[in-house]
Amino acid sequence: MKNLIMKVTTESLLQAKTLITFGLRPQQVKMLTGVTESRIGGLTKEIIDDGTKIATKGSLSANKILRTKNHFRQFSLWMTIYKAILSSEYDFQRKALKTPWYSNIDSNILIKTQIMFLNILDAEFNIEITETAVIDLAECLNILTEISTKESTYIVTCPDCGVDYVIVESSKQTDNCPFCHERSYEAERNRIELIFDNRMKA
Amino acid sequence: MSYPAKIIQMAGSARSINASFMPVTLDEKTYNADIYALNYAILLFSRNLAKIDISISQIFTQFSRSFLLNLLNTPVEDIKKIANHSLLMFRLEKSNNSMLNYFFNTASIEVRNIKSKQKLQLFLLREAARNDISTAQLISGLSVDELILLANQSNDEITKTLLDNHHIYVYRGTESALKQSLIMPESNNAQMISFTKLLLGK
Repeated sequence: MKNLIMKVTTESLLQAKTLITFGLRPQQVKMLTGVTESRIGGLTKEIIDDGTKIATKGSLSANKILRTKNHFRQFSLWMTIYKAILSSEYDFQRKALKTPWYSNIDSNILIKTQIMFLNILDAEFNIEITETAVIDLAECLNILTEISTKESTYIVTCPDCGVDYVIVESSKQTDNCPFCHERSYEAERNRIELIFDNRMKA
Repeated sequence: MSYPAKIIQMAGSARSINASFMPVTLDEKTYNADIYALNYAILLFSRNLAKIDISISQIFTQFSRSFLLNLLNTPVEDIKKIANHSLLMFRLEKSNNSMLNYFFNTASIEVRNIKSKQKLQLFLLREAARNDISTAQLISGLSVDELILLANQSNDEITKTLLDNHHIYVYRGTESALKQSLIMPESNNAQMISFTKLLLGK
């Protein structure tokens, strides 16, 4: 019994430490891992002493987080990865997936998603992983909680490209699909498709 | 060094205390090179077959005629850009096509190459599934049960199943999305659409 308790605490401490480094607020870390706030303070100090940089703490609203097209797109990608990992983990543990999926928040899966997400941005899209260029885990978590609590924030699927994205009603930025409804993208696509069609006919 | 790399390092060192404490795997990047090699090889292989005759390429893959025409018109350099690093683009499917049997019964080098590529893909997936099942599911799109079955197979068993049954490559995402990224390989948008399509499945 003693061993079992030790195991759980060590694991959640490690998770808490990772989550703090990703810039989550103490309240959120406490909610996700069950580590007490005094302990979180100690861990934060430990991380700073190690010389590891802590990401800026996320407390903004979805409206402000999705201020750029880049962040808007990246959140869509993040959401898709989170959903995919969530379904596999829950299936594996033979747990019934609670509906809707975005209200299932698991610290383990959050960390895993973020690592995968950074890996994918780096490997597939050649995006340099700096604080300003990439959306934070804390920010993603904020938007996820906003989706499950607020009625004015919700997920829709684009009828043209079929990718999920989030709509924040108060924001002008998030009113259309971030991928296919960009003017330059559409124009470029039409132009190249025309060239291809002409080449096929010739 | 930016912060995420440090987090990975930190979590890695914490993991060395006892691996069972930390269920999150942090070595997703280890598969990147192998996955890229497989994806690129299959795309190039179907392009080379299409060069001889498009209908031959259609036996081994399930691409449509117009897509293969596009693939033929795309330079090899661009195909390098659209091959994924972190997700397998194709999955194997059993097929009883008589033309397929005919091709596999002739002991040509090309055919032996296909079989060895398929074997490599299954070995990679088995390795990933033994390491962490949810990562394996993300990169392959197979169900958890299939992956568990694969993880328990020996080298000989995998070789035997591949010898007994003929498999073809099936693209996991939607063809139109891949076509978009094929005709505009520089566009991050098109790449992101095809990538999320792979994650979402058909």
